[in-house]
Amino acid sequence: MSKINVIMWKEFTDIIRDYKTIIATVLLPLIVLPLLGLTNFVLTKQQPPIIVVVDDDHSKGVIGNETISSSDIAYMLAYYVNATGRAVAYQANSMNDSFHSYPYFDIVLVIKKGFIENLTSFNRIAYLSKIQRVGSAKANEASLIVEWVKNWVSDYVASKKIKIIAHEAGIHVNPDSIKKPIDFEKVQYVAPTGEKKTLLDELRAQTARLLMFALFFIAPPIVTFISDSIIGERERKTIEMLLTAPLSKTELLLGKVFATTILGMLAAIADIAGLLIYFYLLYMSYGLMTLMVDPSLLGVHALMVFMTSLLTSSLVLPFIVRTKTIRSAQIVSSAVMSIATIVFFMSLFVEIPNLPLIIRIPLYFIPFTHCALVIYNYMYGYTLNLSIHLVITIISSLVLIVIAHKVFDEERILIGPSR
Amino acid sequence: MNADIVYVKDLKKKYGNIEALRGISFNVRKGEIFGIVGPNGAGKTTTLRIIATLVKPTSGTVKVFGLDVVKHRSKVRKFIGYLPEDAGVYDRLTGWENLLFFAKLYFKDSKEVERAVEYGAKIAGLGDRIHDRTETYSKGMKRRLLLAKTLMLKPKLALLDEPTSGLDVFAAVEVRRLIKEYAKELNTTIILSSHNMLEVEYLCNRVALINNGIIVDIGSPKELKEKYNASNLEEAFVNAIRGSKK
Repeated sequence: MSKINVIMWKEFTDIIRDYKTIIATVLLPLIVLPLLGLTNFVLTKQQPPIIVVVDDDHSKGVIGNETISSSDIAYMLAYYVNATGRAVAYQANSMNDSFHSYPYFDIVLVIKKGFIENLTSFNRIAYLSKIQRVGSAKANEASLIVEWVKNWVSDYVASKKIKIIAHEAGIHVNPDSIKKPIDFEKVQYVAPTGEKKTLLDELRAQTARLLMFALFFIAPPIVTFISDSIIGERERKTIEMLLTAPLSKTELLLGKVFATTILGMLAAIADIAGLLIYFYLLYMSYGLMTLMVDPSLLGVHALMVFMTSLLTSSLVLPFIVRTKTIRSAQIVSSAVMSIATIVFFMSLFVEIPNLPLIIRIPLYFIPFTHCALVIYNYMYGYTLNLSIHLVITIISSLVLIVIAHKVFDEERILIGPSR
Repeated sequence: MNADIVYVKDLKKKYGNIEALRGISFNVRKGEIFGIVGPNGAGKTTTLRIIATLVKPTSGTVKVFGLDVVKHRSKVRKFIGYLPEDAGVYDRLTGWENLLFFAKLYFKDSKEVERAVEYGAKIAGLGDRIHDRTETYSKGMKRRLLLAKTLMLKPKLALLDEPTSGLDVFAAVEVRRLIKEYAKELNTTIILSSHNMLEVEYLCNRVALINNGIIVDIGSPKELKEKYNASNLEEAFVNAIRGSKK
């Protein structure tokens, strides 16, 4: 073990002093992803969507015993938009006025002539005119807010009308039973086993799914480190002295794999931390809670980050020890990274255990699939399946290291396949 | 044969279709500096790599301290210190850390490690620069560090492949002085390869002249000069090669 430690010490010292690599693989994701979220957060607050409400109708009408004017509707629309806190609404007297006074509008809502007459009738629909600016990044969000506000106001008027009709008919009516005769009860969350779950469990599952995808971040730094660790020794002409040292192939390979695994883990943890901060800032910006991180999930994820790191370096190793140049090592590395990307991206959207057998079986031959499935099974609390996939991941890594040991040929590393 | 530190018999090595060594034989005695001299591509590096257990022979026998280099690689490695021709250093490690790394691979006891590194630092003679990263070293400083790394282990057999390769005159003289002093001080057996005849004449007790994978002759520099009626080893080498072609 002590010689493995010596190799690891050398690898650590060497890489930690390689500032460019450290910045590119560890610090950059940790800075860039939160910065992306922060930019989103700050700029969203700085530049809320602008909605202008124009009253072109200037009229009044009566619903029951209540007088309602177009200016009331304009006020209500603007009031509710502002009440969301996510957009700013202004009122204007005419279209020209709105374009002139608010050139950076995102949406102009026009209460057209005849709107109140239609609104107060019992057989016509009152139409609002929606003018949306092209090329506005915020227009879609503004459109969503306008849709909500229109629904609130529409709901308010509909309730009034239903009450009037009910009064005329002399019956007691709950307006909601007419407006929404069919609706969902409170959502019940259950596991595939039928066990009751909560909204928090659902959020935790979504987070786990995201973390499954985040395993993808592990592959790039690992393949870079392990390739450089073996091929780089040859290119820097240090391998020959290392190979004559009283050091077994196992000690040399394990020292490099473990050092790479730990460095890769650091890079991956930085990536994942960056990703989580990014999503937290998105939540701060848009108020949509989509993540739920608990210590046990983080524990399982940390274990899988380690296992995926070990697996990635073990997967690349048998090829790297037979490869002569950095270029051919990069080709192998790209292939491994592509496979990792496919599996981990797929796990974000696809339930692998529910795929048809003909698709599932080839996937099971890809070791990365088992890394994703450990987290998937944790998500649903399937301890036995989790253990099986974890054991497969460990065995795959060990088998690949043994293969690398078998195919590791010192003469080939020094001289190449033929001369 | 038993007194021989290195015993090489009918050694052949083929890389694909290329015959690098075509049946060479020689022996190296305890405490001597043995030179392998020849032009580029003669088979010097291959010979040293086989003795260093890095490359397997195609046929023939190579024994170090009576141990076959193919069957007993791990044991043989404990006796040898090898300086490759074009070796590099770990650039982001300091000179001291480079020595420390190898010392830790060779010795278990921390005091032995410390002693070896201090001895290596003394051989390297880099002063306070030993604590600087080697990326700031000149080629000569790196070569001295590598030589120090090889010799600090106090190997029973040191294999030095072109120890002054690529060095300027001053650095080369310094490295030669180091090798000579070290061999004298510790009575270590050294095999060095070189295509610099002056260097070999200055350092070696006996020399093998090698060309195209064949040893043309073996003897002390003085014997070879007399045998080939030459004023220096370079001339002796040329005459020996011409003679072998007739």
